[in-house]
Amino acid sequence: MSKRLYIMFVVLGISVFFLTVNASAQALRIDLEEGGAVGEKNLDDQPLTQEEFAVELVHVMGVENLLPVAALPGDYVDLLERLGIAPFGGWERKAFLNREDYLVIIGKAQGKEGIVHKQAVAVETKNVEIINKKWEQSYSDTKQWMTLSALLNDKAYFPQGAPRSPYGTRYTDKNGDHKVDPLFLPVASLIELQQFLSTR
Amino acid sequence: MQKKFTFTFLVVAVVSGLIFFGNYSWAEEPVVEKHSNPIAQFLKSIKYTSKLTLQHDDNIFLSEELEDSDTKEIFTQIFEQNISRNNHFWRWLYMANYELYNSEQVDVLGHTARVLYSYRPDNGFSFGLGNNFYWLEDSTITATLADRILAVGYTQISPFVEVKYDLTPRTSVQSSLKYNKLDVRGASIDDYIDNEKLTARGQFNYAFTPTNNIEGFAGFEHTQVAFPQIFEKSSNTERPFVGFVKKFADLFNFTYEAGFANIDMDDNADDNNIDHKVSIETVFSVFTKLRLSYYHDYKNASLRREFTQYGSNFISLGIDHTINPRTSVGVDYSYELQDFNDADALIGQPLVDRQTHVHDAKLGVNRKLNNWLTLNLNYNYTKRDTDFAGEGYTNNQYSAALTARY
Repeated sequence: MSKRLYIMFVVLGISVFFLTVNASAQALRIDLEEGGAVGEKNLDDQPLTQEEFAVELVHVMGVENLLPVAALPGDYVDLLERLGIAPFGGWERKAFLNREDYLVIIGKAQGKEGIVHKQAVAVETKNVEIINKKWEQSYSDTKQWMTLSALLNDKAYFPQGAPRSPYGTRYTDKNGDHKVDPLFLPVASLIELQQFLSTR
Repeated sequence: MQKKFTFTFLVVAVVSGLIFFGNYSWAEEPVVEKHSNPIAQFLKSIKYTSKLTLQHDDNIFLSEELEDSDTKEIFTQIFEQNISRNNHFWRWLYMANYELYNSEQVDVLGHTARVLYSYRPDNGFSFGLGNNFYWLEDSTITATLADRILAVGYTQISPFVEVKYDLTPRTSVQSSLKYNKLDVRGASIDDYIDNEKLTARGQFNYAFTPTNNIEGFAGFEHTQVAFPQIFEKSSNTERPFVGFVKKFADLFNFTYEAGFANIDMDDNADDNNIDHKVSIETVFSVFTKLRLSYYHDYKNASLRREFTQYGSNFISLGIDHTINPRTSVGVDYSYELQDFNDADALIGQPLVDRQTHVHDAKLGVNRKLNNWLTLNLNYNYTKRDTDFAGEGYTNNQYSAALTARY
């Protein structure tokens, strides 16, 4: 008897479930294409926070089933992060999404993390090269070594500001040889190792 | 007869439901496919997975005394649907698992069903509710159930509800309520196994930095365990907990939680216990994932005749790596030390400490043969050493599976 009651309960549950789906979908009149909005919003005209972008990206990727039962925007960010999709330096939820972060996130989401990191390492190498060159130039101009921070803040050498590190690395000269210290980029090394183990 | 009736009834009910209520489809929207059939559209959104596994076990009865190898065919059918529309998310899944043992001439049927509804308006408030249902047919084939190795059929129902709210950009609160009912079939043992567990949990989260790379949390958990047929094993647990998540950007996340449990057993014996949970999960790549976790002295209700509860010390390590878009490999190892303390022995049972050591290692390779068919090759080694007589065993399991997804 109780089994039959249970079956009736299950059938009732299923019916209510589909009714809810039906009613909500009818009422909402959702455009199926709406989920494809990522990338359509102009980042300059209508800035998105990183968190808002994460919500849209999770929808488009169709991985909502991996979210917790109750999911706040922060959970969308955490999910993408756990999947290995994040801007360099990690997500900053309330910050506006800039073009660099957007490209890194989309690159990673499309499985192009190797290229993304290769580009970032190339930028870091170029930055170090430029800083070293300007440092030498400043010495030949003044016959005095400037400190690295003074050099980076000197508009005469860097009129548009100091080169920005993609990984958020702080350029230093701890050994005092007037050259930027070799960079320690564990993520780039890990990606290199990972690519060595792959046949992609 | 009754089983057949139940199965047929459920199938008919589900199919009718799909057809009858299938007319909700968004295909009525002119912007999509004007002339598409709503039922076809609905059915198309249901993912169907069919898996055929050939598996060989060295020791199918998981026993030291009666080691017997056998090969079985496992036929698994999964239907699932995820619907995400604006602020609403629905998910349902149904899985049927049928195992046929060749030498033993035994078959075992299992059903799993899951439903979830979640309201996620992205405005700082969210809630979700659902239910998980498991049913396993009675069988002579043994399986692991918590701290026991048993050959029983059972039904398990686990409804849950969770609510979250962002108080400020840096603080949030969440609470959840979970109920679990385990009902085994078998009059001789179910007194010690059938149980109901209710867990209510509240948690406060605080981000110490704007980038959320250090987040602290604290909360309170209340757990009621009831063994309706034997009062001695029932308990109430109050467990305040505190912890933090430290994120090393682009590298890994580290999580730590400590719990301070006061366990009030119905036989008037109290237990104070401190547990720890530590986990590390890499986040540097989409293609490679490493997980390491350790639980120390987490108390669980025992399903044994001899004890009320046991402490679980569990360590696990898992690595998944995608070699190329078609091939991925995974390695997992876990070790559990189950500690049974004499203070938790049931009345009339000997007051002795007991231990169980469980080693489990898995190796798997997945190869996509085409965009809908995948080949899975797996090896699983399990070793159980225990002070409980006749319950230790070693098993080597080899399997090859073909998985089709539509």
